Amino acid sequence: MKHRLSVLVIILLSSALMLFAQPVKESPAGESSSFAVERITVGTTAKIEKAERGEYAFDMLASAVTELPLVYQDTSGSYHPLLVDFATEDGVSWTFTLKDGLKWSDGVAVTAEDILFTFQHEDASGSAYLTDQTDSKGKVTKAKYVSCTVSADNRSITLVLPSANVRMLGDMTSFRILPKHIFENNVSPTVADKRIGCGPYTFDSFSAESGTIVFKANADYPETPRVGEIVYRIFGNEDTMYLALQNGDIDIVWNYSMGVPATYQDFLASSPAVSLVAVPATNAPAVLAFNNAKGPFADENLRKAVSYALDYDLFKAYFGSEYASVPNRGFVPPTTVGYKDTEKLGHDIGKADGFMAAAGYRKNALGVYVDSDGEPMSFALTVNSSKQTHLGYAELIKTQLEAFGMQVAIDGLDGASYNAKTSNRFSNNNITTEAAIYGYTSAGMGMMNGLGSIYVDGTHAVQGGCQVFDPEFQAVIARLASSRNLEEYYVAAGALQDFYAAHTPLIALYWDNLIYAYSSGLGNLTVDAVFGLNNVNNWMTISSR
Amino acid sequence: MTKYRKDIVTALFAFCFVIILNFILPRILPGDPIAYLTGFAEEDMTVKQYEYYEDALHLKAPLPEQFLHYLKSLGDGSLGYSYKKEATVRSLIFNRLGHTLQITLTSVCITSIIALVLGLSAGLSKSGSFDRAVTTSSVILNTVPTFMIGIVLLLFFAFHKKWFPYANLSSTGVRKGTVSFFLDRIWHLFLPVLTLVLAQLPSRFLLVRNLAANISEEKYVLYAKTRGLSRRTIKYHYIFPNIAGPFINLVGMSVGSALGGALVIENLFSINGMGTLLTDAVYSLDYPLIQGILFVTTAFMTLSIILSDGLCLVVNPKLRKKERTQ
Repeated sequence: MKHRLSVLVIILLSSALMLFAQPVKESPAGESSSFAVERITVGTTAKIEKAERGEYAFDMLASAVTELPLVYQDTSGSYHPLLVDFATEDGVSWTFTLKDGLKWSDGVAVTAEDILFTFQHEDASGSAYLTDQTDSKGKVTKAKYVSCTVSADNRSITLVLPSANVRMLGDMTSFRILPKHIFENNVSPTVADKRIGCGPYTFDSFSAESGTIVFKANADYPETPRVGEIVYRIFGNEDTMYLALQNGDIDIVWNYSMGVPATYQDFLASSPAVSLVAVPATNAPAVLAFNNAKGPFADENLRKAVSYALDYDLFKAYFGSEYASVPNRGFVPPTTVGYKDTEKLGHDIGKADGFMAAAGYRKNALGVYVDSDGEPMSFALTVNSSKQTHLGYAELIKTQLEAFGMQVAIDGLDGASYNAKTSNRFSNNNITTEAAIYGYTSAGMGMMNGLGSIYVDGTHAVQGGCQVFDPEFQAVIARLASSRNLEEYYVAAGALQDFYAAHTPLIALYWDNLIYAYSSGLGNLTVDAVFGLNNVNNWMTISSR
Repeated sequence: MTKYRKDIVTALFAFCFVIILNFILPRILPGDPIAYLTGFAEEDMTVKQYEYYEDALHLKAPLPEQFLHYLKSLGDGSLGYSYKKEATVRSLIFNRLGHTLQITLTSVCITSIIALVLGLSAGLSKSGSFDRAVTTSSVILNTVPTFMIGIVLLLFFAFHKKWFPYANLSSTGVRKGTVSFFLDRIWHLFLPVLTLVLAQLPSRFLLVRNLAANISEEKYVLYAKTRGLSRRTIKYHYIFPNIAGPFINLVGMSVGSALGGALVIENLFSINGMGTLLTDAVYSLDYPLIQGILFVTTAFMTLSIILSDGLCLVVNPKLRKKERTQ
């Protein structure tokens, strides 16, 4: 009897749990909402723990809601005003003027002094905007601006560069300003201080337990957004996040500087609940970079032989999305500012054989290329083993080149050891790799003089993996750096791509698009070149279908 | 010294060893200790920042003084400072510890009870149909990895049936301290706890079942059976007291090791716990945080070993008598 009673109690308790512990409906933005879309839920796997200014992942996320950058870049590469209007006549002097009516979320007006204060604050943290910085080894990084003037009405700031930089606005697409009245002389700002922003939304709540950050529309913002509330839902893994998108629980998927990985694209494309948008990418996801200074690939003929021995259609088919394409010899993708159309890479064994002969190699009876001493042509291909796709690229290169007659040893390393072998900074300017697999980010491709030059330039303090010290290359870099207008920059950029095409210091294995995913129930979305679908312009245009 | 006292001394010794190792490793490894203790590359720091860290970490002081500062940080409970996350290690760990314990302690309790009930029944009726069915199922379930169990439960109960949530520990907008919050929490814990229970159950069940099967062949159990005592009395009054020692040790060890974080479960169900914290710390080379997690985990392990050994002495009169005579 007692036994039956306990079973009955357990059954009753379980039923009560199933009945009462139903999903708690999230509180709506308002019963009588005046917004076209009440709420947009954005799924992300970004690691956010504090949800406050200064936390990198939060800053990236908040760039669409509370911490707007000064300008934004569209997917065609053009820059547009966001918090400020901009003007320059010579590429040296740049004036930024704040939009009318901007206020911080505590009600204080946004001024040009806030921009100046942000530069000063960043300098104090080790950045070099207005002040030169010296690192612990005595290396000096020169300040980016030689002078800075705030207008009398406190709405404009004029920055003067040491020389013309037509790509200056690129830096401003991720430059977020600080409220001077909060952070000046405040050594320990509160969490609430760190959540003050000046965008179309204000911070509402963060819960680590529910994994959500909520932003509500800011009534003081000069423009009224179409969405009343933006909820960011943090996921621990991508599998669950994409299933949630397919399930209709989230509206947009976002991770900074990343699109949907190729492994999820087919699955999402087959779901009517999900729409995909493809944006030509400015990154180089798969790169075979040669050491142009040491080892076998100091010989240009061998670099060219490899470039003709590889079948790029296979890389595209195995690793790329449906938008992937075979790259040009000029290396940079067509979305790059200053892109020039150069010869397409192609699989041509006849030409590859010709370059091997020019390098002094002939095929032996076993079909292996050997030099005049009978030594086989062999090299080590360094790859970061923690990146599965990169290992895949290395395997495919090895298979193809061994079939061609070269011997390839894959040198798989952990992240730290890989960096110590492939970058100037981590190898103390002693790059020892013969050839390596890289993936270059959009930011890296556009850094300094752009066109991926930091990875090629052997004198670059951090990267320089290709170890190119050629005076011809350095002259082109100098021309890029001193361009006074876009026309001059385009000419120099073309010359750099011609250099890449003529000397093959590195090869892009395939070009691809970035794929973004969102709910099919949404329309009128816009994509930002830096922040993808999580951008402030979306909240002004988005609609429900 | 008895076995239990020896175990306690060994556990304490291991704990002290971990503390010393934690302190000494970043200082003897090749490279700059500032880089290890802050997690930042030396090249990325300005002279001012480098000097600040050197000062804050007391690296100019002699080694014994540095050790005293380290012990002080353990004593006052701050456990050091994570420069990567800009917070004391204590705050980072204790923000997450509760989340992990809600999953792991619940699953350890549920698993232990189910393993005990099923194990005693199967052990008593060794080679019977019930024993064969449960043991075979356990052996099969034991081969399935935890993430696979989690994914299957997630797909079926969360995405297909939509009965339970697929992520996090609470719903948005539920006020803490209310009945709704409590029920909502149970609702969120259901799948992660069920996953861990299914993953841990086979090994626990098989241990109890084998111990019970051995004991059930003892004369006093056979005598109890011939006296016509109920199976329930035989299981809980004759067999259980005799397997209580190893069973308590098993539970104790489970509590300690569970603190390392239900890594797979936390990632799968997007739970902000110790497992994900440890993963972050390792990936970002946040050495102070790794040290802190190692310290807390070791402390819990030591404590649970001491407690379970103590409990064994309390529940087993034979051991108590042996202690007294020695």
